[in-house]
Amino acid sequence: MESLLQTALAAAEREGATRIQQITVRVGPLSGVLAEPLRFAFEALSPNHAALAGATLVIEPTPIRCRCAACERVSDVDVAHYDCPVCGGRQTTLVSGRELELTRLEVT
Amino acid sequence: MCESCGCSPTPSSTPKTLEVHTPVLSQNLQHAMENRSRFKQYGTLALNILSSPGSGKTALIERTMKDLHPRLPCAVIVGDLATDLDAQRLRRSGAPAIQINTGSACHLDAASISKSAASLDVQPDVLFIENVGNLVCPAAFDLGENARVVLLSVTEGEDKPLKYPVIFERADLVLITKTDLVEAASFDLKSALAHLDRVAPRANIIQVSAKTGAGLERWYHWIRHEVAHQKGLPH
Repeated sequence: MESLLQTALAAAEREGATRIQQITVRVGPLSGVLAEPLRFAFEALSPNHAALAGATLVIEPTPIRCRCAACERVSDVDVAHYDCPVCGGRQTTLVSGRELELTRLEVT
Repeated sequence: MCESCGCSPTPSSTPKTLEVHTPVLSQNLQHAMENRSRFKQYGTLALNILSSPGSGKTALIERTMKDLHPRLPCAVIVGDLATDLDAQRLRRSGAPAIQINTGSACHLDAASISKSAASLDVQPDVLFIENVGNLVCPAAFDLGENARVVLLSVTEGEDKPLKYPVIFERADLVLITKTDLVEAASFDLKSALAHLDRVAPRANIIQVSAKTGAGLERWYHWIRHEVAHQKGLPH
């Protein structure tokens, strides 16, 4: 979380902004990170930075999505079910689900 | 100027949206990429060894280094919250072992691997990185390894891969360990393999026992093959 806040603060500073009002992150189910602990860490650590006073955290969950090598379709799948739901193909490539990304900032 | 009170709002007070799109662990990723190119430069195969506590990582690495080192030069970096007991034990194989104490951290990160790898006198052909025993957090941290090896011991039960799919999904190799205890633990090998096929469809699977030596030749063959690949040799 501290590395997320540092990245956000550096990005805001580059734009000459002094306050961050909102931080949006994208989190995939395969990132190894859960929304609740992320929120908890944000609440605990953001008060250490004046530029983050009153800032809110928005978490955008991303789906687990696979592309099938056989039928080339891209489908949303469940964790641990990576076969193609359309044609049953076993050779699929993950195209979404591992994200842990600082997406955007609302700054002033 | 504000019409109600005459204040002059500064231009920066209008909220602005910045599209950043930066991985949260970008610093770790940066170190991981540096590690990866360093390993490539030295022809070192780096293996990130992952499992729950007690599934036999240390026993397997100790036995492997005893069998392969020094003909195939090995070294190990081992992470634990505290003590250097594992490093002491691993040194008995004759290969160098570096202990990282993570304090309360539940995983290794790329920066600490970079420091430890640089402190080795000789760059080995195989660098085992024994991660902190944990099936959750280490999955998120790229160490710059060339392959991820996840251990599943038969005493943990055949349903572990279904309960912790994220770490298995990223495995290049799954080692089913302690196979000498299959009967004692009533381990259902067939359903374990079916579960692994579902959550880790891309992984190779090898069954081993570090105690009896069963299956180790296949594991060593896999290591030699990957070393040749890393060094750009025919394999």
